[in-house]
Amino acid sequence: MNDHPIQIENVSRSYGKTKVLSNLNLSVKKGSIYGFLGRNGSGKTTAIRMLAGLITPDEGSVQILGHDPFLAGAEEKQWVGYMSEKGIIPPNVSISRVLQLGRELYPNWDGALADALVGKYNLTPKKKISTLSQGKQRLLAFIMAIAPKPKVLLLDEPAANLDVVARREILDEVLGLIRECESTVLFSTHILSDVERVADEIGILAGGSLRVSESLDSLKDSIRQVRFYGFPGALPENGIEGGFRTVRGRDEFLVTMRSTGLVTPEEQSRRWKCLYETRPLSLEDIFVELSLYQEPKP
Amino acid sequence: MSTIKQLWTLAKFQLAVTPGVSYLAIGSGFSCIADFVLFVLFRDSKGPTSLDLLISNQLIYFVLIFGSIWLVPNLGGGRKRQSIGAAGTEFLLTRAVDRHLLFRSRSLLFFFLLLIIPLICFAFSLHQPGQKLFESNGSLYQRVMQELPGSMPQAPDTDGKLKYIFLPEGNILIGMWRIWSPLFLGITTLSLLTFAQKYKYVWWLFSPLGLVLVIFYCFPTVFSHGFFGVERDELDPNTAFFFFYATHQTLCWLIAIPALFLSLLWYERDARQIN
Repeated sequence: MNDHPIQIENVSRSYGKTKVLSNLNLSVKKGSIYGFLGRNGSGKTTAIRMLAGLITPDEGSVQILGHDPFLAGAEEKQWVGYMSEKGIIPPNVSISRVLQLGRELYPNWDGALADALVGKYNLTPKKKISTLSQGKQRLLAFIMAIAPKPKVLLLDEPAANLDVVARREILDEVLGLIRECESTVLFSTHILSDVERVADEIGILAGGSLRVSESLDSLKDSIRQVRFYGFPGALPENGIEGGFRTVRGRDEFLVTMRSTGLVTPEEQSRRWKCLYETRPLSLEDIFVELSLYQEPKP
Repeated sequence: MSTIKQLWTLAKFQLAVTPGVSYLAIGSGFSCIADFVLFVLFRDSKGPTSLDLLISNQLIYFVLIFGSIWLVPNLGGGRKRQSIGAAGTEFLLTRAVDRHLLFRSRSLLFFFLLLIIPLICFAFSLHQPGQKLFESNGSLYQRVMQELPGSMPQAPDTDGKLKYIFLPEGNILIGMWRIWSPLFLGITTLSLLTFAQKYKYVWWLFSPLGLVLVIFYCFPTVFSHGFFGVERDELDPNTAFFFFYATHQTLCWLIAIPALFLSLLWYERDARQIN
């Protein structure tokens, strides 16, 4: 638990007949920033809502700091900061009333930090939430998540509706929190440049489970697009075992695969008696390739 | 953070989040206090009044209906959303609060708003326990004389026309009824919502089905003074219910108090499971 404050094991969850998560396994190392990627509807928010204690899995277990977040009490929840992808702060109250709630509920509430961020983001304390723009509401939600100095910070699409400057400021605050409190951060986003900027580890969710979960450098090093060409005869019928997406051309294969997988490009080219060349992929390419890849049914 | 402190913090925030319900409670309270206090304190200057007027309190139903909006965690976004934005359920559940205390704070606040004004009225009734009733309806006159403890017919007033019944502890009886009846309706509402919120069609309660319930609740009192001027011979349901209460007071309270605790526990147990 101490090394991995966030743990999801064999979790499945359905909404009606739609299975959103299927046997999801995920763990995040203490003090790291985990970028949680996936297409719309891939189940990122469902997984984060489970970690926030809002919903329970149908199967499997979820733990934050060694506790089931759904059953966790105030004592345990004071160490978890959460920012939803939606505006969930009640619209009828003022900013100062929301901050007051934070002060009253969290013993570790950093009032100076909250006040500084309110000033930095030009939030007027007397204003009601309903009068704020979507972006300002998100900034307040971020303050509410970060000011308790949480050990675990869950950010669901923190950058949505924010301008570039605000996004960068948020990322800087997250990095500051990590430095100061050794917090563990899991954040979902569609903005891959944010992930490249701050994430230590990346998970790509597709088909209800993680396609990959590793450091950005390792991911970029190991996943390549390989072009097999110069076949002596017709193209082989079967693709590559252990590869991700395969695009079959007229006289070539384009395969996204791990350079260190079960079958290396070199071995495969020997088997096929063909030539090959590899090209590195950007994070965006990797994301697209892995998201589009359909796992073969057992 | 202690349980009491957490409940207090949550209740204060709930009041700020849904101010409308508080306004309704206060609004209904003003009317409630106004008529009751007038009848209690200025009874002699106003003259005897009718039982119907004293036991009806329609505005409390609005507190019931709108207060219950807090109680349903998956209300607000219709069928698609799992939790409320407006009442802040999702926001509060993801803060450092005990899940069950959030729901406890809501149900306690609901009963507090429902009962605070009746309790104030009851305090007034202790100050002035006697009540004069004037009943022109013969059957009602008979029922008052037969079923309300200590009722005494009084001699005509100086002009010789007005005849009334004096109830030595009438205000206390009516004050208690004004506490018991919203309490009973509150328990019913809470239990109904607890039962219904397990089902995805709970939102019906706040649409056509809700309207039916409102009518179900309000009909007895709203139409208690005669419908389109047609005089009635029989007692309306609200008055009949009052007489049932007056003749079975101990039983009513023996049922209401445990039912209150059971409904609170049932609601809290089920609401905390919602996800």
